[in-house]
Amino acid sequence: MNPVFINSVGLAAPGLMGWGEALPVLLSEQGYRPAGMPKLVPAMLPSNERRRATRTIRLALQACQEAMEKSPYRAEKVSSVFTSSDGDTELLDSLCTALAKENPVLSPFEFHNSVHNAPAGYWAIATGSHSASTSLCGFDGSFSCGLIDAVAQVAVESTPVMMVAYDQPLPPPLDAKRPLVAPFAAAFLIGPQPGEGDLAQARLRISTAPEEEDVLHDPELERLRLGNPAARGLPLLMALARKTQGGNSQDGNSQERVTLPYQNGSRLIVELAPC
Amino acid sequence: MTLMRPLKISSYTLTSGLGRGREATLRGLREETTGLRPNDFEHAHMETWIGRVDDLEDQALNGEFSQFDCRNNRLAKLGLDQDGFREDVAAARRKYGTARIGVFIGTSTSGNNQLELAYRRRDPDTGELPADFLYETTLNMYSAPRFVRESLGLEGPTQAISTACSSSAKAFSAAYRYIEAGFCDAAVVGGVDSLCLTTLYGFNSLNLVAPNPCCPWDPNRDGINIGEAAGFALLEKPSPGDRGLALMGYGESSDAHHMTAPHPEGLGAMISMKDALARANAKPGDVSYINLHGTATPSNDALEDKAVVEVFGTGTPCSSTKGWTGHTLGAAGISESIISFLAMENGFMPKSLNTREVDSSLHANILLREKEGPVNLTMNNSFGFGGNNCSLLFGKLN
Repeated sequence: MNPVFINSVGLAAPGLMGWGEALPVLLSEQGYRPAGMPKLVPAMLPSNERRRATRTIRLALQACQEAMEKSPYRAEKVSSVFTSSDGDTELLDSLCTALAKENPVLSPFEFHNSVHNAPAGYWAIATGSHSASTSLCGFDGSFSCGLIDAVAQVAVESTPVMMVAYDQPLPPPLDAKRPLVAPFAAAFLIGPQPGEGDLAQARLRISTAPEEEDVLHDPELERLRLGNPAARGLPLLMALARKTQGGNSQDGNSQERVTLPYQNGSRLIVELAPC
Repeated sequence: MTLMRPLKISSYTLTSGLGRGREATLRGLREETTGLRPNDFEHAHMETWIGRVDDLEDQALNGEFSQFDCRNNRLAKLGLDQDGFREDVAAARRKYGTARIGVFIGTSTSGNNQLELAYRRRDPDTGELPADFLYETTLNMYSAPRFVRESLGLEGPTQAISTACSSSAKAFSAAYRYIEAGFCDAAVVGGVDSLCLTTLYGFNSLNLVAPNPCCPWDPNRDGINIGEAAGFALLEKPSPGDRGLALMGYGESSDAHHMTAPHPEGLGAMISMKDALARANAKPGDVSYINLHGTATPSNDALEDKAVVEVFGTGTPCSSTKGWTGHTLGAAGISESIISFLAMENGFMPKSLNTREVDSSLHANILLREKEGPVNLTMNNSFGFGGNNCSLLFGKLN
């Protein structure tokens, strides 16, 4: 497979609000200190949609918006791949609470916002893009699912794709069944040809050999990685951060290899090279 | 638009309100018996018709699969048990190896019904969910593809696709890209969506549920009937000399207009249909039959009519088959694709069941009677909330 080109990144997580703020942590120059999340405002949305956008939608769009703004690509020409393990569980809780009563009445907005592709629908409205859009889930492997799906689309259709992975902690009583530690969203704009400002070129390979996934040395960051399916992509973000510094991997090689969890019995290998 | 290489459809099966497996589905279509019934779904107190699959209530999953037990995965199992599909996948497994066959499953609500039932059993003091409610293997969207993967003994790339009512149509395009990019050599694609209170009451809150059997394109159409279905197909690269059904093209688009209302000019629908034709290097006149999304809501049918007439004119025979199955939501794409496969293999085009006359403001060539004759190339439309559109083009290898 030909390489693809990672052009820009967007990030939204406690203490990692945006690529610029996150860089010292991703470069291991600074320890990770989780902070509170600011209230996110999806400025690209028309006012009606902005009002109706849930926390989950705002989280995903925040990361997309940053990646889009940093890229020379035109938003209306970019396809999208949204991936999330758990989706909008605040709405799910609200709907199921209502449905447990006799003669339930549901809010139509809550219902249509509860579809797994709601953030993607809002993103299409925000960008005016008529391009293809998909919404995926692979439980704890959701990040790798989204990345593979996006790269396959970039390579086969020769089109730029925005891939965003996002998840946030579940409300009670669901949190007892699925404990996530913090919100996390990461977006990657990936192109089929070299583009202005590319961070790195990448090749993907699925491995079924018994290989260990990359772990993080900073215990707080490792807790985040394991505590949110979207944050399983942190090793890739850290490798990309090193590439932006013109730096090599920790063993001095200009090629860098990242091993991410994928699904039972397989891992995703991302090979990064400078542009 | 780059041309696509056709993908062979080596096996397929459908279970819906219309029946279990291909033969029952074909019989229902040819004898014009509906799979809809007056609503009798537990805890759903509303006047409508539904496409319910019989006996799921009594078919708990057990043994190694008991952790997956929920209505959606029971339906998936029932679907996988039909038409020798498991045997066909086993043969593909021997040919390609387990790690080289991907699994792409569309679902919009996965095990939601399991959660709805669990919310009725919350601890009255603490609000906790019952201990026997299993989040990962029933509710999570990945539960359905993981159940299919483990049931069929596959280890290739596996994912849930959840784009509302276009979900399982998009399983075909995802599988094509994975195969073409070299991530797998073959794929099980399909969709499973089962009845739940969230969709029944949710669509009702939007005033989209019809009290009577749905009647697409009829001047009196007044909404959808919700159905459930599990459908699967096995896709492979064709070998020289192969004959039979194939995926010839696909088109995907976004309306970028509104979360629930379709684009007023049908723009997204036009783009997805045109792209599907372009990928196959086909002309509108090459298409024998269009299986419409045809939900039977006033606005959806009107916009799809506009888009179909714009792309195909008023001559191409079309029908919506939701009068047979109901709207199976995330499983609509695979269900209606399989109805098209049966039409191609048996030389007939199903009519729009329940449609008594065509709304005079609509101009597509809606079949009010079944039409006999060769069906060589079919288009299948699936459109979902969030303005997510997918059109598939199926034909025959020769």
